[in-house]
Amino acid sequence: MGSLKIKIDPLKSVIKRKVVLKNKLGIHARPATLFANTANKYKCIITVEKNGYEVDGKNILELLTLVAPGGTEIIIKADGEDEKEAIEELVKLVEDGFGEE
Amino acid sequence: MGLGRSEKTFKGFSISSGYAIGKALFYPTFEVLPLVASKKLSKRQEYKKFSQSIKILCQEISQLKDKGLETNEVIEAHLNILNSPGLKENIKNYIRQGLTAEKAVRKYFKQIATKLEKSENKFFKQRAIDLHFLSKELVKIMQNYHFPWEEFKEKI
Repeated sequence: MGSLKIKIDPLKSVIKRKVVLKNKLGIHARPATLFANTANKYKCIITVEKNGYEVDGKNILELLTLVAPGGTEIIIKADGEDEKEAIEELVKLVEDGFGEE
Repeated sequence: MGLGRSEKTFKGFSISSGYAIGKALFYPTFEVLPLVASKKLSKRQEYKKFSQSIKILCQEISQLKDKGLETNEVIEAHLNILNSPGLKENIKNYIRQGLTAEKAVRKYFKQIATKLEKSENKFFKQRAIDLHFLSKELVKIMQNYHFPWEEFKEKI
């Protein structure tokens, strides 16, 4: 949230990927759960940003506060030992529309 | 219509906004409770009280799912929110800062709900209602104002 506790060091090289939400409703409770559960499998720090507002990618409630309906562009960032795998899986999840229309 | 149907309108707190066809469970709402300070408990006890309320509410919500109501997605979403590590971690932090479990729950849920309420997107705006509902239920359980939903079941 605005008071994001898990911060990625801006000076560090971080993996970032821009993705557009494909499903109609975007990040509502179910996709937020899928995203957070997937993110929680990894050790790295994961954040999601929309228009400069950044939240913890492992927290369902904070993901909801992105207020991101379908068509919104988000940036997924990962920082840590398993960042590559994490970002690949999360991007795929978003690109598959979280299994929704 | 000659099918023995009748229509009734109720005012209350639904699990989610919208229309639905199916069995109805009625659970009377209570006025917003004042956050009476509970007995001074240790931080560990406050967190235990919160954990216990999560457990009870999850059990009750799960019972609705088991009844085969067609609200499984909403129920699943509520369960996911209640069981999310992020929620527990934030409540723990607030308790560490000296808040009671009730105040911690109110504060965190309100913080999230306010963000959703500010949205221009109707769908997300409505989700704030779900969060207020969960927050109120947790507080009621922690303050022993809570009655199992089963006790209020009525048939139309």
